[in-house]
Parts: sequence; C-alpha cells; structure tokens
Amino acid sequence: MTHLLVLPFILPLGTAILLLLLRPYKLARCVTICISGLMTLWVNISLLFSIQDHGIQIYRLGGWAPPFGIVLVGDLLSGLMIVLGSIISVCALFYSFDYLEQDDQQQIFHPLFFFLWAGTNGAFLTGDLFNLFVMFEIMLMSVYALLTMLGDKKQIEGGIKLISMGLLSSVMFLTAVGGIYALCGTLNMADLAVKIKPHIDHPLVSAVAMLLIAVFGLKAAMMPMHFWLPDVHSSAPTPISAMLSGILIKVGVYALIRVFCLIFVDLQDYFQVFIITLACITMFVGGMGAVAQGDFKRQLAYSSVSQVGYILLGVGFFTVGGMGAALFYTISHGIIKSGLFMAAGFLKKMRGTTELARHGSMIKISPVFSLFLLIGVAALGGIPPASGFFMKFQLVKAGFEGGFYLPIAIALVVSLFTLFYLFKSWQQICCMEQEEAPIKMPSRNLLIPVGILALLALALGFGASPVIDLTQAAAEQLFAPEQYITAVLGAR
Amino acid sequence: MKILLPMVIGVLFASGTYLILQKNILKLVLGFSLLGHAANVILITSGWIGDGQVPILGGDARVPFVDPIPQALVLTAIVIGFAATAFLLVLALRVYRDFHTSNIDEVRGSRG
Repeated sequence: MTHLLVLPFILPLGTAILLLLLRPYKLARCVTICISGLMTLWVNISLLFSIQDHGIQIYRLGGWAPPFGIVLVGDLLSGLMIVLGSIISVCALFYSFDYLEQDDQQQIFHPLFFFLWAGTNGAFLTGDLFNLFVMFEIMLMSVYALLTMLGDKKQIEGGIKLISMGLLSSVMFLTAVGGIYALCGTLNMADLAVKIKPHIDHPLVSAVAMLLIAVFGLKAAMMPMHFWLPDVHSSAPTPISAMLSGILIKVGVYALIRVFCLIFVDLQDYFQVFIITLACITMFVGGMGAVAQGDFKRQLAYSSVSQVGYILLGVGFFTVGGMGAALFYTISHGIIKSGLFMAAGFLKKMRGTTELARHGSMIKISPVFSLFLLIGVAALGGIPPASGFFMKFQLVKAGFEGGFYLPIAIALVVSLFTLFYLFKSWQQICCMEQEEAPIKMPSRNLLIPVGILALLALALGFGASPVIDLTQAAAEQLFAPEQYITAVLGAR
Repeated sequence: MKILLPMVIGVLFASGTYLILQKNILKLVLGFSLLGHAANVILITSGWIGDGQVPILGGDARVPFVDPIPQALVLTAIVIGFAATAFLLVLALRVYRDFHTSNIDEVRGSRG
C-alpha cells in the first residue's frame, strides 16, 4: 500500500499548520507556499497517472480495514477532480501574492487557503459518507473565514448568506446520515452500496436520496437553492471567487455523482426527470440573470449558476456519454471560469469597481489583457478552437444519443444567451471608449495566472481528445460500480 | 424513550425552522443551533436499541448494547456545529457594528 493517496490531503493540511507557525517570517512563508503548492500539484497529477495505470486505489486510514475504518478511495473521477482543483488552486495562490497587498492579509489568507485546499482534496478522495460531511465542513469553515476576511460590507452580507447555506446543508446532511445509518448500519459508501440493495423499496431510502440531492444541490447552486451564489461569488476576494466558481460548486456536483452512481444506482430512473428538469431551469434562470447584470463579477457568478445547470444536465442523462460530457464540462468550465474571475479581479484593482459601465478602452491600455479576456469569453461561449466548444458539443451529442431533445434545445438556446452577454461585456470592457476615472495600473504579475488559465483553455480545445478519452473512461468506471466496491471491500 | 425522542426531534425542528424564518439575526443563530441539535438527536436515535446497555466491554452479554458509532459521530458533529455557530455569532456582532441593525433585511452591502 503506497501512501500517495493520503498526500493530497495531508500535504496542504501540514502546510497550513506550518504557515500559522511561520507567521512572522515572510520569506519562509513564501518559500513554503511555493514548494508545497507545487508539490501538491505534482502529487495530484502523479496520483491521476497512477490511478490510470493501476486502477482504483484505496488507502486505509490508521490501517483499519473497511467497512470499520475510514478509507480514502482514488478512482478516475476523484483523480480528475483533484487535478482540476490543484491547477486552479496553484493559479489562485500565485494570484493572491499580488492581489493582497498587505502582508497581514497574506498571513491570514494563506493558511486558510491551504485548509480549504485540504478540505476539497479530502472531499474528493474520501470513501465514507460521514467523512465527506467532515471534509465539507473543513472546506466551508475556511471559506467562511476567507470570504469575510477583508471585512467589506458586501462580504459581510455574502458571509451571512454563505453561513446560513452551510449550516442548513449540514443539518440536512446529518439527518440523511442518521437515516441511512439507521437502515444499513454502515457509512462506508461501498458497503452502503451493497447493504442498501435489499432495502431499496424502503420509503426512508428515497427520503434520504432526496435530502442528499438538496444538500449537494445547495452546494452546487442547483435551481431553487441557487439564491446564495451570486452574492457570495461576486463579493469574495478574487482568488477565492476563482476557487468558489472553479472548484467548490463542483464539489457538490461530484458528491451528487458519487452518491447516485454508487449508492442509489437503482434510484437513477426515479430521479432522472427531476434532476433534468431542475438542471434546465437552473441553466435558464442563471443565463437570464447574467444578461441582466451590470457588474462583471455578478455576471460571471450568474453564469456559473447557468453552467452548473449544463453539468447537472449531463449528469441527469445517466448514460456513459452524458456523464463523460459532464465531467469534461466540469474540467473545462473550472479552468475558464476561474481565469475569467481573475481577469475581473484585475479590472477591480484597476478602477476599484467591476461595474461594466465604468470600464472601457482596455484594448489600448493592455492589449495582452484584452486577448486573454477574449480567449476566456470565446471559450465559455463555445467558439470552436477553445475547449468550450467541445464541452457543449459532447453534451449535445450525448443528449441526442439518449433522445433528450427538449433539454438539449433549451441548452442550445441558453448558450446563445451566454454568447450574447459575454461578448457584450467584452466589447464594453475592451472596445468602448472610457475617458473618466483615473486608473491605477495593477501589477502585471496578476496577468500571469490569467494567461496560464487562458492558454490551458486553448490547449484543452486543441488537445481535447486525450482528456475526452479520460473523462469517458472515468464515466465508464462510474457506471460499473462493482469495480469500486471490489476495490474497497475486496473480492467476495 | 421511543416516543419521547421523536417528539423532541419534532419540537426542535419546528422551533428551529420558525426561528430561522425570523428577521432578527440573533434568532437566526439560535434557530440554526436548534436545528443542529435536532439533527444530532436524529443521529443518536439511529443507533438506539431502546433498552440497550452502555457499550463497554465486560457488560452483561445477554442484554443488547447500544451502537456506539453514532455517539462518536455526534461528538464530531457537535464540535463542528459549535465552531460554525461561534463564527456566525461573531459575524452577527460585525453586522451590528457595521450596519447598526440586527434586522437581516437591512444587511444590504451591494445594492440599495
């Protein structure tokens, strides 16, 4: 048994504690952040390759055999998600050095950021339902603090909404855990998948499944529960906005996929219409909201709601093609959207606001920025060379294969709106003449992570096929849950 | 106990839900902590056998034991809930200082 699987969790956690101890020493902190940030990225990438070569891996925490101990399980889905998470995290970390100008802000920000990273990696890797709850809480706790850290009035408002959302979802999660434990007497996900089979008609099972949809839907901003997202994502400090939209809402989607492809496999048909309907409404409402916004960051936040709808639509098809498309969409959207949020942060640094009407002439001020923004906007809108085209194409293809014509029609109409509002904003920011307001040119280093993410979005478009193959393989693995169960519990 | 605990859960959920629908931010805090406790009691009951004995080795083997796992889970959940409630309280204080109100409707940072 190698210890590779536990490193994505332990490494950021240890770094966070070390950073708290190193508070007075700026240089030591910077070195630690660089080394362990890059190390975590490297560990996660090598973990993905090792999962690809050797199949599903498990790690018994403390050496206790499942189902009694907690296990970490790395399958392709987890591997892909932690790699996505660490790419975005490394970019956000790099961005934060220049974004937070005062050293005392960085002293608080970086340890919390590593706690957040540890929590997300843990949530992607854990194979235990209660442990998933604990990881969610680690993640949310750090987000609460990171969001309200700068103490802006907007952020306090966002903080209240986020914490209310978090507390409500943890109450529902605990209730669901209690219900499922009373029925099956285990919380190990693989063991649950086996033990729930005889009880699948029990009314408690569908109640628990519904509660879990509510919990994960609340985290992923699924339609009736999307109300908190625009305020939170638009008010957060930019590196955190990038993390929130890039990876944190995906944790909810990930948990939904995991639960419905492992534990509630037999309920897929029962909940399919429900999930697809909500996904379509989510797309539509998010898209409409984004068109109406006059603030770039809020527009991006509403656009996240809409894009989560696309991902959930792919999940809702419950076919290998649909799931693969949803995973590719998740990866591609994570990279594009965090890049766009960082670009919005650059604008905020420049004129102190992200209101669209007060920006303009960027093509004269910084042509490089305009180019990166154009790549991001084109990618999210689905213009061919960038990855956004393939993510939508895969989804539409999967929809036609499954015969879901109406949802696909809605998706296509909403993607026209996406194209419309994104290009309108780009035109306003880059091409419109803007004379007023003295500008303060922010550090050019802020553009480096934006550029990296924009180039990644392009690279994902030009080299889409290996990634698409990988996501398809992950989807096939998800629809063969026996593999996961055998890996965790051994052959029986 | 088998009748009492569900009633307690019901009362906790009902009063918690009532409180989080109020406009006063302190009532929101109290409501969330009541809801959290309701969930904890649900978790406790999931390992309850009725008249089981304390799960410590050396007890009478003929009487059934209570499942200890939910109790361990609840301890974790209580700690987490405590931390979140503490944070929410600090935030409530901050709201009072910044906005000079405890009415949740008046906490508007972004628009009007």
